[in-house]
Amino acid sequence: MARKHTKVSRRMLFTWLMLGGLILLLAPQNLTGKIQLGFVRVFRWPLSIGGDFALTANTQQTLEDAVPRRKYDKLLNHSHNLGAKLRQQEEKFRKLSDLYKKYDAWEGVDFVVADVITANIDRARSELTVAYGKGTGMVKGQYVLGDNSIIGTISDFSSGTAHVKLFTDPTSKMPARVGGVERMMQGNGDNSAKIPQLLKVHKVKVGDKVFASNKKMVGDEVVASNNQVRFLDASMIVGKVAQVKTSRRDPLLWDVTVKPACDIEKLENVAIIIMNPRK
Amino acid sequence: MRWFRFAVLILAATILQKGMLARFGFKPDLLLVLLVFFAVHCSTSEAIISSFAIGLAADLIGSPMPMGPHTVGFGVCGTVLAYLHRVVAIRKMPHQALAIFAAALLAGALTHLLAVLIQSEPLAPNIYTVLFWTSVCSSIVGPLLFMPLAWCMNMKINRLRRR
Repeated sequence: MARKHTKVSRRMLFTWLMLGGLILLLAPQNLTGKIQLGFVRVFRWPLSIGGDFALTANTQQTLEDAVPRRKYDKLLNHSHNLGAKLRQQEEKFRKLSDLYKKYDAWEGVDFVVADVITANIDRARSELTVAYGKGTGMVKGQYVLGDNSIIGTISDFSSGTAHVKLFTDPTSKMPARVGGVERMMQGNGDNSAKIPQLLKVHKVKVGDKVFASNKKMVGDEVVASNNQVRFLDASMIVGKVAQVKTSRRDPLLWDVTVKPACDIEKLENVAIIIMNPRK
Repeated sequence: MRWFRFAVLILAATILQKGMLARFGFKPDLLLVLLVFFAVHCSTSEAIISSFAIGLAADLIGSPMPMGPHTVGFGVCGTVLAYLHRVVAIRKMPHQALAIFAAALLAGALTHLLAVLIQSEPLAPNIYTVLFWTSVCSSIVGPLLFMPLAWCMNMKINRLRRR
């Protein structure tokens, strides 16, 4: 039987396709996000092969010292985390009653280890796509650890795959603590973040450690969050101060640049912090 | 138009863009290069279909931006380019580079505008710089890829065709 050809005008074709695009545009984001994650899950193998190839090409020159440096950074971050946790414990020990003496910052916390499929790290976006085992209690906003330091938060997830928005992403905002003050940290996009307009009375210098705050952020201010859902019980290291310079807007303020505490591009797996996991 | 080859080519470019090129700071947008290639070397109807298909592929790897803006942005841009090609021939490499540069700026701006206006996505402060450098990279690399792309698609691109 001869095939019947139906002639569709260009205008009609464009209209129909545009309509399809607009439907996609207005569709619920959690649904379309699942399609994106599904694509990554289906093509996980070629995507990770390509990523590994690019990583090898990037790191060929510094292969000799990359491994010990990474191990060193990892242990150093662990040490900083323990230090921060210890200080927090000591403070609580002094202030709280006997009931709180038994408090453990990570009690009731679950860690889900996830393999990195792809890493999108450029000036426009800084994001990892990770594959995790079937875990419960996954929600958006949960913190993600890489080499014992906070690297970002879960921005989207479906069964087995999740997007991690790095704290260096230009659209990322994260409460952070530096020099004893809690401020909002915003991503720069060039593998760094900034803490803008910090008062000069706070003595911040290059090399100071920056910790992810366990407090909530309202606008640019960090506030206590006793009544709200928290994704972190204890402060954890995010990075180090790489640059401190006088703010362009006000000479009495600092603009602080923060570099990650680990080499995010070389991460092979990460750990997602699940607070109060469902049993 | 060989649609199976087209699908394989788009899939390969999508995986390459998301996997290998994702780790580089400044990189060409391969899907955008393909958009210009098909808009310039196919009939107008084929160019319209391929533009929307390439936009859909760009949306699949467009996270954290939700799906939709790339499909519409690339679709409009590819259609405009296909109609423009009926009037102005884009044969020489500098012209192709210029077309890619303009298409990258237009598609990028439209995509981000739609994401911000309709889906209230936060706009990165450095988005204009990124858009500019991606357009520059694409316009440098793009014309060099036209010949291998034509070979893959079994197309003759040297003869002047205006539809």
